[in-house]
Amino acid sequence: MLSIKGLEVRYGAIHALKGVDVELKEGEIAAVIGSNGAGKTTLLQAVLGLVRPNAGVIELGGKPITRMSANKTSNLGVSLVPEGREVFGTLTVTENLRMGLKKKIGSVTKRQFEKELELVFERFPRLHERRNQLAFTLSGGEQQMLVLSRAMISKPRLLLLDEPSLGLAPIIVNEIFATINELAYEGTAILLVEQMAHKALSIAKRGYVVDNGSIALQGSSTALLNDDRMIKAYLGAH
Amino acid sequence: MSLILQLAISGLSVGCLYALIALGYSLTFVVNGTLNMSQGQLVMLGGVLMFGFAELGHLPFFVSFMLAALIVGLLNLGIERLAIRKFDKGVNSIEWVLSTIAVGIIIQDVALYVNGPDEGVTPSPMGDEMLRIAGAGIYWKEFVFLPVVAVLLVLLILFYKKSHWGLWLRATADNRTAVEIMGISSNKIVAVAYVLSGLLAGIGGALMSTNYAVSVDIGLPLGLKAISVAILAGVNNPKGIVAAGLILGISEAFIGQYISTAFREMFVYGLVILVLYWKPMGLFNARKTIVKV
Amino acid sequence: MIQLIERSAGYRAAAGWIVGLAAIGMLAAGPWMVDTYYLNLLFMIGIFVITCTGMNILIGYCGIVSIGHAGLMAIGAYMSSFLSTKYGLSFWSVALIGMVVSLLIGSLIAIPTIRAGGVYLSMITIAFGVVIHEVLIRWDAFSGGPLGISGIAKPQIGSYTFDLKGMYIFVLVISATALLLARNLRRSSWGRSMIATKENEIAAASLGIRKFAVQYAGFAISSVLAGLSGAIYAHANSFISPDTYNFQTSVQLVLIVILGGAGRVLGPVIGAVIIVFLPELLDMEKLRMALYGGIMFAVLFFLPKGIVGTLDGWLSPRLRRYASANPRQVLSPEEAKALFASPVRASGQPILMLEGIQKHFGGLHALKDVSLTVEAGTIHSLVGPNGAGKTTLLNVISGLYSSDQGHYTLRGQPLIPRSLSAVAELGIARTFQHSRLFKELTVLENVMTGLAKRAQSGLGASLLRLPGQHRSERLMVETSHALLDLIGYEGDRHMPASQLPYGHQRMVEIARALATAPSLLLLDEPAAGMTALEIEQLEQLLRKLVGHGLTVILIEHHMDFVQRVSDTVTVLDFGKIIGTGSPEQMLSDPRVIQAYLGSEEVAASAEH
Repeated sequence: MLSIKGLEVRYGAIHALKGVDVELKEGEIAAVIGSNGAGKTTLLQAVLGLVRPNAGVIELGGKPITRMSANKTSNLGVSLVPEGREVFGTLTVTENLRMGLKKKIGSVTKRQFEKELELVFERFPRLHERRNQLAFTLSGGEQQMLVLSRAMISKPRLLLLDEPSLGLAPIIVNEIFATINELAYEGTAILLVEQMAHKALSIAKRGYVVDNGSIALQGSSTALLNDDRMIKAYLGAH
Repeated sequence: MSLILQLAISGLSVGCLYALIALGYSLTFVVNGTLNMSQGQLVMLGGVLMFGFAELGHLPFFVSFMLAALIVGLLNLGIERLAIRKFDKGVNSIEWVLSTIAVGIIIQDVALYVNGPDEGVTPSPMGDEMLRIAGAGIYWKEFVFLPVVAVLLVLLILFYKKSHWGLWLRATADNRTAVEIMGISSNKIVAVAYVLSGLLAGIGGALMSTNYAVSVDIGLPLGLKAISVAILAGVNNPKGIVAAGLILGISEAFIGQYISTAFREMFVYGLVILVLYWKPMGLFNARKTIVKV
Repeated sequence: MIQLIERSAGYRAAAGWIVGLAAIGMLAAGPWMVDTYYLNLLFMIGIFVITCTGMNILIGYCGIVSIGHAGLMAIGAYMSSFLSTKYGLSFWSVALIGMVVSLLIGSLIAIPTIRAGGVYLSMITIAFGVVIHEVLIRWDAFSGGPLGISGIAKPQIGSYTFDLKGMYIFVLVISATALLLARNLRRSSWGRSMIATKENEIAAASLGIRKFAVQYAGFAISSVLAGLSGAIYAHANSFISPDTYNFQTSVQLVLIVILGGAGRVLGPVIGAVIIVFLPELLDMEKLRMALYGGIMFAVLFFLPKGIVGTLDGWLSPRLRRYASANPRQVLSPEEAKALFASPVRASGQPILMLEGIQKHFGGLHALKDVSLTVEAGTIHSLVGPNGAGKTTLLNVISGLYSSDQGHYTLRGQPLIPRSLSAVAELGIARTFQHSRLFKELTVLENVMTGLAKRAQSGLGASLLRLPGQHRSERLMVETSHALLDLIGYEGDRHMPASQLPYGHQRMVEIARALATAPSLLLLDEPAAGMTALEIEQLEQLLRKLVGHGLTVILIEHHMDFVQRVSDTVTVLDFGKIIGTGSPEQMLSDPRVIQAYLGSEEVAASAEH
């Protein structure tokens, strides 16, 4: 589904990504872990097209999407759930979800959207309770559920998740991770950037440890879980 | 009694104009924190074009009206592209204030050059009939401002609340980063806001020319009045803007009649300064700003 | 070496003076070189330079764009003309009154609107200009209505009456003086504080700089100068009318400033010369305003730094290599000690106590009942996963956010963190997660802004650069060098901060915070983006600081670094404190490992 080869990104003098390779299949979760500033978020932004790579190739389902704008990649089925939730605070929950559709709502799409809404509310009944509330009044966990659902409503083939556990209580984190697992089971390819390394590896098939802009370690989740170097790289020890 | 009623109606119709122009500021300010300081000159242009098309070009009234509004709307699209987009660099940037002021003086000076200082009133399809209420005589063409602006306001609210572009405008106003992440070009949305704002200015000017003589130098004071309305109400509060516009229109009519016309301007701007001091977010603004963690 | 550099700097200053005086001397010969027509133009340039030098302080230093200063000029002009024609007062007294009234009325619009900030203030100044114009047209008794006031007496000294030549020389002297004052201001704490506030209000406030005070000062100076130039113009011209002071004039004044280069001392001179001569050259009657609009547009598009700013940006990197070395000295222990506030309490006692702090953002509960005791003379680290609320806590302590609930005690005294600047004055300094250096200022000047509160120099003394001011400025330079030595900064200190590499930015930010002589220092991820070597330097620095009696609260993600430097570690997760203790204790605590890594199994495996 997703194949990244030799990806390089520079911001002026800063070399944020120095040749990164990632492979991801349909219905699979790949975890990307690493310390702050290692380049994880840049990787996601480059895939979506918010950041222009300086070198390397990104392919989606065999088609090159390198240097494509976010507008085009999202039409091809790439969705990003950003770090820090980024809800539309002054819009209602339903309106936030409608933003996920990214298309004009006509008579046909309206019914389709309502069906999608039902699915979302089935998955997160709490959002149903709060469907007419403004999003900034939601708790952190509910906001995370909202942005996850917002990304899912466009039925993406590839979902990019940036730190979905950020600032959430463990019980909520478990709920979110269970949902992520379900989404993969339903066939979505998921690239998961996460600081909770063990949590992420517990649902991912493969893991990539990014350090200082390049992949320091990679392998199957089980192998990584037992690798001492992982904790060291993750905690940013030099 | 009849004088009071007359003053109230003419105050209300002036207030309608203020509200219409101020809504134009609000539309763009909420979306990306900028506004066109030459909005007043755009209104003037709408009025001058209206008069030109209808009186000098002998085009039918409604055709002239549409043309004037459309041209001004499209002009604002160009202004956004040239004078706003490059200078829209976050809350502290003020270059766009200067660039749009520059646009305003260019528009005014060129209009003066082309049009000359002449001014004229476009005959309204309402004719010069009077409406008589309780002994007061009110021109229909003046009274008609109220329903026209009311209809525009309803349309605007419907657009804002119901249409997908309205949703996108609100979403961009709320969180531009998130809009970009959804793969929607926020530049495009800002441009739409500017076209709408320009349409409002064009409609305001065309409407205005049916009852008032629109001279080339009316743009600046009109734009400033409308900015005052926006500040009084809170720039991000459309309903408050309509209320503030009407209140200001009426108060001006009465102050001008019973106190003095020179005092009128000082009253308005003094009030604005006081409001900025006590309630910088506007009189009718209840919403607090949301700070991100 | 030091002497050599100081001597070369001295030569440069002397050269500047000589060039400046020579230019003034040549201009002073003007009346005997050119005819009346050109002398009039030169006189107008002088009038514009006086007003625009004030506006340059307002626009260039403070970042406030006023588009109503023609109104303030009008006040000076009308006030002095009215008094002199009606009561026959001398020019000298009415000019003074004109300046005072202009200041008062300028204050009347500035005081209420500075808080509301940039764009609002600009709009209000436009409205102000329009109202003044309107009032002048309508208030016959005072202003003579649309016809204006004529027959205004020329200034006199004894039996000498100023003719055009005399007025020209007078304006030349005044505008040179105004330029000198602007230059002095730029080299004082006030000027640096103005630029700091313009560039980064939050960082400036965290150094104890009050936005209102500096911006009001800028507005006041510009009002006085506008009033003065108005009065001079009126008495030289003998006639004034409202149309001299309309919106177009205000726009023209702004244009002069930005065309010349906002914030550049000589900018208004260049701008005024062009704006006065250009229409003469082009011989334009119509479309003059459109021309000004076009120029303004072109400047904003192609020359955002103005003519002087662009030239300077091109020249200074080529000139600086002659003055790039830094005086570097080894600090004696006493000298180093003098840099810090004396420790208030012996270490081991609490300096800061927080109780039950709550903070919500909408439905988001960012801090949940946070209680914390920080002991004096220690390094207290806050750790926890991203989004745990560490920075929010720091923002609440430093007064950037207000908490919804909770008690604070600083050195045993209850503390209400009202605003950043108020907290800074209590001896709490901070740095920010993302560098907030003042990019327009040099490295040295950045550190000097931190000293502004300590120096407390008067505005008048700063403008005139009195001997005492000179000394305190020297002392500030030395102290700042000493602070930069302390943090081990070895790069160019006269380089604009915008050109610093990232790691250096973080270090300079710490030096700037230290300049406020804090007893408590809050550091938000100082090591982020630093190289291993820089982190080592940082570690040594923190130890040194604690040695001088400072207390440090540190947010950091580099765990081995935290482990090495911290005396105490507090772990936050989803807005709650989940534990406080020694670094060894906390970083091996299963709850902490779970918070970070998100699984119980590892917690168990990490225990052995």
